[in-house]
Amino acid sequence: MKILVALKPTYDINQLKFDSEGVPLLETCPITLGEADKCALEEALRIKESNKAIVIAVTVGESQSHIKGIRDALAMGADEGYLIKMKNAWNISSIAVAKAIASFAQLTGPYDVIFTGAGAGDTHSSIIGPMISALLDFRLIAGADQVEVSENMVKATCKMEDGTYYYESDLPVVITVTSEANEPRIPTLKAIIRSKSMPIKEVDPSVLSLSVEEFKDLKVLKHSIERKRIILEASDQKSAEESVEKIITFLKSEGVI
Amino acid sequence: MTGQEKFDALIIGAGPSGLSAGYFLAKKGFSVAVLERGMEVGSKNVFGGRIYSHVFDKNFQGWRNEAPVERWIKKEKLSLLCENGSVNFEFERGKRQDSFTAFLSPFLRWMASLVESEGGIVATGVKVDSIIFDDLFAKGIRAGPDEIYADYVIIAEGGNTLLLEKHKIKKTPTLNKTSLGIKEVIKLGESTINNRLSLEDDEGVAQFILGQPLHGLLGGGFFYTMKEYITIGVVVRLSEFTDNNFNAQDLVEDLRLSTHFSKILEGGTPAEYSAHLVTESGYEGVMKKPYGNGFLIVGDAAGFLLNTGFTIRGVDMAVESGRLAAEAIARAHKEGGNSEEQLSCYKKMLDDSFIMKNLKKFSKANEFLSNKKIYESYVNLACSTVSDIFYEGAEANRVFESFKNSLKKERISLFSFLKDMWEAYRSL
Repeated sequence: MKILVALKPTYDINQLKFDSEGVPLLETCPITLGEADKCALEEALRIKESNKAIVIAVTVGESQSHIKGIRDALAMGADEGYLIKMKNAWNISSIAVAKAIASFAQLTGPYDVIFTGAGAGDTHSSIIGPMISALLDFRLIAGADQVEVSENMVKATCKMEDGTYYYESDLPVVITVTSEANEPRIPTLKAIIRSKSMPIKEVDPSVLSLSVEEFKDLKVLKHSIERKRIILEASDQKSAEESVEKIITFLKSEGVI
Repeated sequence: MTGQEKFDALIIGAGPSGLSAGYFLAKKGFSVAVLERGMEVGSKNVFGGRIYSHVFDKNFQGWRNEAPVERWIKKEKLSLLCENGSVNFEFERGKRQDSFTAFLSPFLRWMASLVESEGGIVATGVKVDSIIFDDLFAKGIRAGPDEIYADYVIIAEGGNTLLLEKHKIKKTPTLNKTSLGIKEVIKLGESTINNRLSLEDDEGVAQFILGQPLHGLLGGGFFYTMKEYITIGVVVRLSEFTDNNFNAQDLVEDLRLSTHFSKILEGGTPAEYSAHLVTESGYEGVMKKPYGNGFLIVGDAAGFLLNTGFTIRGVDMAVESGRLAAEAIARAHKEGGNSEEQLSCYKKMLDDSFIMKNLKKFSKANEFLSNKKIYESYVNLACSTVSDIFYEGAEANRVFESFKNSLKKERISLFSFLKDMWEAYRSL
C-alpha cells in the first residue's frame, strides 16, 4: 500500500499574539505543521505499522519552514519527504496547491490513500482535500475522526454537528483528518537522528506542468465577534420567571432555539 | 549512515557554547550530534542583548556578512534612576565597533547552520533525561526510550544545571547565587528608534540601569536597541523575591513606565515576554573541574559568566569554551582516550584563555556587587549630589558641599562611603 500525506506548515495559532488593533504579530509567531495535518500523518503512520505501507510526505513551498515541516514528518516516521519548489508558497491560490499535489501524486503514484488535514492551521478552508479528489477522480472522505484501512477497503467515522457518519469506500481515496482524530507522536531521539540523514527530495513545478496562480493578501485581521452584553437581573421568584421568558424570547429572535 | 547510534561526541544543549563545540568538532571531522530540548534552536534562550565580536573575528571567517546582527553598539550608557531625576553616563564610541546586539534565536539558528554545514547533526525537541555512566565513565545519554552512545559527552545545558545536579557533578546553587532575568521585546520601528536615540542605521545603544524602578533590589536593568525592536528588562537576584515578596513581572513594568523610558518607548507594541535563570556566582561559582571521565562542561553550565558591574559578558565566553572543549577532545582523541587526565588539558586551556583571565580579574566583583547599598543609597547619593551641584535656587553649592549634604540626607557616613569606594576600586 502506498500512502501520500500532504502537509502545510503554518503559523502556530496557539502561540499567535495580536497587537492592540487586532493585527496578528506574524513575525514573532513560530511556524509548525498544522495540527490536523499532523493527525493525518499520524493516521498514515498507524496504517504503515499495521498494514505495511509506504508513507510519503509532501508539501508545496521551499522556505526553511517547509523544509523543517518535511524534516519533522520524516522524524515522525514518513519514508520519503518531498518539497514541491515554489517561491512565495503561502501566497498562491488553493487550486494551484491542489493541482500541484494532484500532479505530484500522478507522477510518483499510484497511491491507495491520500491523506491531508481536514483544514490547514491558518486558513482552515478545508478545500485542498476535496480539490485533490476531484482532480484525480478519487473518492473523498472529509473530516474523518477515525480511519481503518484493510487491503482494499477503508472505513471512516466522521463526527458532524448533526450526528456521526460512518463511511466505507474502496480505494483509491482521499481522506481529510480532523485534529481530534488522534494524538500525533513525538519523534524519539533515534528517529530524529535517523531522519537527519534522509534526503528531502525537491520537485520542480515545471515537471508537474503547472501554472501558478498567485493571489495577494488584502489585509490580515483578527476574527472577532461583537458581544451583545445583555444582562437580565432578577431578585425574586417572579422577576426570575420573567427573565427566563425574556431569555427564551431573545434566543428565539436570534434563531438560536 | 542510517540509524546511527554512536557518535564521537554528543552535546547536550544547542546554546552558544554547545553549538560552538559542535561546530569546531564537526570541522575537525568528528561525528557530532547537538541535542536541544526546545522545539527550535534558541527557543529556550532568553537573550536580548549584546555579544562581543572578538571571539567571532578570530574563529569564524566572514561571519560579519553572515550572522544575523541587529545593530553595532555605538553608545554605552549607565543610568542611575532616582525619584526626582536621573544621572547618566554616556560614552560614544568612535568608528570601529566590536560588540553588537542580536536576538539569540536567529543567531543560534545561524550557528546551527554552521554545525550542519560541517556535517554535524542538530536535533531539536529532545529532552535528555540522564547521562549514561558506566564504570565511572560518561558513555552517552538517555532520552525517553532511546540510549545514544558517544566517546565524549559535552554538557552545555546552560545556567539551569538540572543534569549536572542530577548526577551530583554540581550542587544546586543557592537562591542568592542565582538571578532571574526577565525581558520584554517592544516593537518600535527602525526609524523611530534611530530618531529617538539619535542613531544611524546600524548603530545601537547598550544601557545599564540602576536605581528606583528596581526598588532597591539587588539587581539591574538593561536596555538594548535591536533593528526594529527594543529589548528592556531586569536581572534580579532570586533571593530578593523570596525575601521581599516582590512580583518579578512588576519590575520590568516599572522600568518600562519610568519617566526615563516611557517617552522613548511611546507607541511601541509588546512583541515578546520571557524569563530565564542566570547564575551569578562570579569566580566563586565557576566549576573548579569542568571535566571528568568522558565528559566536559561548557558555557553557563560551568559558570562562565562575568558581571563587571557595568557590563555582562557571557556569549563570547560560551563560544570560546565550546571551541576549547573541541580542542581538548581533539587532543585527547589523538592520545586515544577520554579519561579525566586526558581531558584535563581543557582546564589548562581555559586558564590560559580570556575566560578565566577575566573571571579571575573580577574575582572579588561578585562580593562587592552583593552590597545592597549600591542599588539604593549610592544611586540616590549620586542623584542628590549632582542635583545639588546643578542647584537652581538662589545660592549655588560647591561640589564638596553638595556631596556632604547628600551623604547626610542618605545617612551614609563618610567612613563607610570611603570604605565601599576602596572595595569598588579593589574589585571592579
